[in-house]
Amino acid sequence: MRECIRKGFLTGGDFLAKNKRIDMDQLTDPAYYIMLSVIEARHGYAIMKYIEELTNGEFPMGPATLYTLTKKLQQAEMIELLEDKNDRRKTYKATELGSKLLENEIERRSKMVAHGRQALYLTEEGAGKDEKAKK
Amino acid sequence: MSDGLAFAEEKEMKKLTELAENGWFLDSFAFLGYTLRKDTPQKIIYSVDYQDIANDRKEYMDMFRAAGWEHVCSAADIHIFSAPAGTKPIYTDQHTKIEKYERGKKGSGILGIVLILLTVMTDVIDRFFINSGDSMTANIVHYTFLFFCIISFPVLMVYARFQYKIYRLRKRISL
Repeated sequence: MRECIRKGFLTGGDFLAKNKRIDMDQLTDPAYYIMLSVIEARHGYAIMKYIEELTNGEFPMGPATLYTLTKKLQQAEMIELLEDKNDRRKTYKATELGSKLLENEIERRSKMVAHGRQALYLTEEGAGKDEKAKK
Repeated sequence: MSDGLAFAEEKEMKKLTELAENGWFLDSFAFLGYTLRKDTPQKIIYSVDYQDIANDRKEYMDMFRAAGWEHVCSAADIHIFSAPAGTKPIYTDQHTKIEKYERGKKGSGILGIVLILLTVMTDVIDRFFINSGDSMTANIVHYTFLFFCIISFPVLMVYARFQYKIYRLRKRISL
């Protein structure tokens, strides 16, 4: 029965991975930060540390979220596990596919921020004009 | 005695926190409950995760340790961790949290299907292959059938409970 459960999980995982590969051209926020931290090879602990430093602790990364996503990103072939000869710990590193998707994601996100700024600036200007009209 | 992890996870974890404040610490899983051990009272919190870690147990444990969570005990793919009060939660986003309950649901679903198949099988054996009403084998088959019926029910309840949790979390996810 244990074997049966394990098999179920595996096929489920493969099935998920196939689906994920399609919609992984957009990353969730935690997946985005994980990808940013594995541009260089890092192990689990270093990923958490790096995200904390990069965001000044503004983006919390729980260990269960990190583990779930590193597994998913591996299944989607966006990151790979590297065996370190000097260290017993394994490190994660972005694959070529992963790096390319990450670049697109950075571009997409910066465009969205620019749109946000633009919309905010336009409304502020609009509000200013209204006030002038009142005077 | 446990009220059942899947049924009242938050309540269950809070109960463990209260027990720790009184100096009773979770030690391991036991049949229908937990084993506790006595130590100096502490303010600690508990979290449960459902995860298949057969292939990278070390990576998994390292991540939790680095985040300040100490592994307490495991049973199959169920893992319990403890940490000082105020430690960041183990799941920090809704999507991965939903996936946790989906894994739990899948595990209980497979177990449920296996149990239902076994129940049906014993019933079929009972009906078609057992002739005499009060022989030893007839009794064994009959009680096995009852046993499977009785244990199938809570497994299916657990499945339903996971489904409900997923539904509630999905509703809470941002637009």
